[in-house]
Amino acid sequence: MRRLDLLWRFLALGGGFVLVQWLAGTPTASVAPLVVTPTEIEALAARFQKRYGRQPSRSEIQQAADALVRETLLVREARRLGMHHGDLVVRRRLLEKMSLLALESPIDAEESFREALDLGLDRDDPIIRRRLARQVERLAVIADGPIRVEPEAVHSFYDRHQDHFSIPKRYGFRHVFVRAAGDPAAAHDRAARLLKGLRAGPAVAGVAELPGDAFPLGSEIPSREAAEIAAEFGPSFSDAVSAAVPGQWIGPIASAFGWHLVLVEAVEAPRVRPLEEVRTEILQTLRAEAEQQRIERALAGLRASYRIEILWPESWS
Amino acid sequence: MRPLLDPSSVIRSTQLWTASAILGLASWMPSVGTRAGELPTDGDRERWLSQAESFLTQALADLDRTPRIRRYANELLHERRAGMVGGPADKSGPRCEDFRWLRQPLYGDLHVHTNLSMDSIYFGGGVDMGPTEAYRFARGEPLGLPPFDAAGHPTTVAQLERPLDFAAVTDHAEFFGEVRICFTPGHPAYDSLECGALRQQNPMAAGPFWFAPLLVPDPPGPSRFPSCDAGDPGCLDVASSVWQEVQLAAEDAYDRSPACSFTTFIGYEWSGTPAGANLHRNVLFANDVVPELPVSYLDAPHAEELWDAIEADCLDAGNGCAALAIPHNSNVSLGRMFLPENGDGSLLETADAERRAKLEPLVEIIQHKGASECRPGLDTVDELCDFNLWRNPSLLPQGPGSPPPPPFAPASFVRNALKIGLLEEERQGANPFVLGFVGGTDTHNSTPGFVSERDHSGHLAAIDAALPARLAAPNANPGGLTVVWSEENAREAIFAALERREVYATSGTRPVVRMFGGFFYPGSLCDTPLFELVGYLLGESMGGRLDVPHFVAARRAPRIAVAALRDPGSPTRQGVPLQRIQIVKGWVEDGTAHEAVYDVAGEPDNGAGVDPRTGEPIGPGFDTLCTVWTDPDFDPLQPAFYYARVLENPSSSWSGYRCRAAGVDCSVPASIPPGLEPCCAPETELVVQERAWTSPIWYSPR
Repeated sequence: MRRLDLLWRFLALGGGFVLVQWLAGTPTASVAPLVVTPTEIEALAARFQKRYGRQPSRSEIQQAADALVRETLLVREARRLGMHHGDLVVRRRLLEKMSLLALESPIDAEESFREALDLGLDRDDPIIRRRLARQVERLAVIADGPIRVEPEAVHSFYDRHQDHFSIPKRYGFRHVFVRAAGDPAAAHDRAARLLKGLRAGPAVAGVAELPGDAFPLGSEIPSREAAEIAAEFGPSFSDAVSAAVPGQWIGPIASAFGWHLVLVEAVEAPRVRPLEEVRTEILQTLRAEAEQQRIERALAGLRASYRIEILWPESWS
Repeated sequence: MRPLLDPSSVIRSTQLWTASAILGLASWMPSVGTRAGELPTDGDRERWLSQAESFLTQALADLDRTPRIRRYANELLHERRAGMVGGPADKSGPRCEDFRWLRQPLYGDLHVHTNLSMDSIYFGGGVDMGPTEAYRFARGEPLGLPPFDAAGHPTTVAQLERPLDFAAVTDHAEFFGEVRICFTPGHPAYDSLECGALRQQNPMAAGPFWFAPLLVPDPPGPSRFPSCDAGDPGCLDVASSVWQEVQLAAEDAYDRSPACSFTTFIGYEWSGTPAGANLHRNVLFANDVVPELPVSYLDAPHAEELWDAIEADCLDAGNGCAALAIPHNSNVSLGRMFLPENGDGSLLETADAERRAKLEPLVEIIQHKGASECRPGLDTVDELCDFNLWRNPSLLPQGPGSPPPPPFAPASFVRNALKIGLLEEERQGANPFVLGFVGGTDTHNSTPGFVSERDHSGHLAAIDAALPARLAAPNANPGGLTVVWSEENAREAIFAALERREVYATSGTRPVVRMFGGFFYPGSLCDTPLFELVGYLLGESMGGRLDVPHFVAARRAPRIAVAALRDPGSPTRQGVPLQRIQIVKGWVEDGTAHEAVYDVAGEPDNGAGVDPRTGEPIGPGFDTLCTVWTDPDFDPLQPAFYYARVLENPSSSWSGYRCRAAGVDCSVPASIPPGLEPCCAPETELVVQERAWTSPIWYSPR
């Protein structure tokens, strides 16, 4: 449904024409050249040097060059489809550049935009390139209709990634808070009396009421690790919770704030989360994978229509 | 439903209340059988809601005898109850193991600089920690701090005793690309003057190139260096790769598993400073859909242009992008942060005010360059405003021979801005300054949440690493924290809390504070565990707006229910007890704004203090405080705001700890080592009262 929504939005933004063209396929029969120049290779190496603080290896430069080829393929496709004419980001960027060039003439935005295109200001602009590449990727995803993930694929992913879905020991508890302001001994007595009542158990059916005072962190603390409980209530409180027998009211336990009566309800052993709990997560991952596959397929198609060459500088060969 | 108790007894007699509670546990107990790992079921919520309903049905009958008002209150209760089965604000559903439908406090820092900021570099000392290191530090890992010794080893190692729940790295968006180019040998701009100056890592050398263009021109006229596009890649291209590093670091550190142990936000700082007036904003994104580049002061010299860009590239992009901007350090804005006018000097129209309130729902009220709440003598007589006050009125450096600085302006302070907002609402119909409160560090050392007074070892690389330099600064402090009331530790939930302003700021400690405003809270609210549930059912939490028909406001005054827990401390260090809760009220009467501060809980004169020999806090205080306060001076025709200020007992400031450790005894001049003279200067705060400020609740006449 979300995907359908995207499609509509895309169409509303004038993408209809582009989509039809895309589906009609690449008209060029001839194989065009796509060359990565030695200067470009040097620039890629310099960028790598800055980011990682060392010289790249040849295979690392190869990777960077492949990424450049990939982007160039997408950008050229975007241009073939005329996507740069209707794109708002491209437009804004070009107008910005025009104003930076201080071309003072008070021409209107449309004229200024066309002039920028005539001047070729869009040609090597990294922001425009990235934007166009992303738009073509989006097109590749949308054009093949909604992505379906088979139930078997979800199961198999779950089976293969058990360790990813495991979690450590956690405690869930309820508590009744008795503030100790004024007379701590009296507060302790009050807490002890309440505990007796809690242990005596239910006597009257109907709407129940909880005893105790206001406690801004709440009365139900679901699923926390011991360290987290210690941070919130204090270490000795956390120790008492860890030692408690589940299903039984204990106390009064002192925290940094006063007295508590505690009912540990759930002690979760380290475990692997059930499939139902992680299904959405897996679906998202698999969908993202499928989207990536569509993009790669589209790229493979584009690659076939070019003669790709990487020209290494002499220092590298 | 079982027979009701005598309504008055529920309110007046805790004993009876308790007795009936013990008898009535039947339907509450069965959920003991909840399966391990399950989130609270709707059944649990239903039980709580039924209990609250039964409590309130009686309490409301006792609270007001006017049938029309009782009917209104009951309708409100039922409407809210119906909407609350999925939690106070129903959303797509829990993602985390620790989801709490009635929300939990999460601690974070939304103002952090790393080595991507130009000033982090020229502050010197060889700081080379980026966003990744910052997030690691926030999660509790140790980090070496400058200065570094000859062998390249840090001279100090910092570590958080209590890691943060969330953080945002917000580097200065200006010069993202330029800075990187200056450290890229071989780039044509590498040998430029400005790059040479930056690489000296010395503010005197670099400042004229890298800060003066942002700091001086007024009207703003920042521009990029001529060398900026000297080569390929140019500045913006490099900036874009830096921006992608910011995003990657945030993505890598964000725990997307159900454990939800840590959340990051992608963000940056827009650093407009015309004539030294600090107009800086941190821009924070809700998720990983962000614009291609951050918007810097160089691209958008006025706040309006920043907002335009946020709208165009994010909010209106239709791609799921969402963002908000958080102004900070209005205290050094020369009164310009909260001018009730547009950039061209025209008065705000309703739409302008609404737009501003939407884009800027929060203000950073505390950070290392001081608190911005209020300042004694500037439209206030509140003596507790004298806390963490930065001594310069702008960011222009003050030194011997520099012209005397202009005076501080009332509109530089947040409480006054809130008052201006009320006046604006009266004038044109919309309040532009509906500001919730957050706190941050503004660290330039990649140390988010490093707010401990005991451990404070500077935030500005080599500049303030040495104690004399730190003491000479115009009253720096270690900064504060942002606390959000969120269902879970995930971007969606935290961002939603920020947007609805259910957040509070602290000066660095961790008291827990809840505040609700409404017209129908029973006086016994503090004596039940239903405090927060009733809070949501019958009114608004912090950050909200009281919106009731006139017949209600005409007969009843707003009640503020506020509850606080002391900072429990860490395993090795005790927190400081609470001293009192105050309600700060602002209102408009006969066309002018007024304020009042009420002590509503605790004991102002509890005699607590700091042991001068050890620096440890001494004297009695409170572990918890809770009250339901009714505005004694309410006038239904006056717009108003209310916020809570929760004060701890006095404790030692960072300078107090350091001066004491250095053996300084101000009565013995010989004991004062050279450079530590400020330890004995009257303006140095050796003892402070750490505090929390809740986001306000607003009231508008209807």
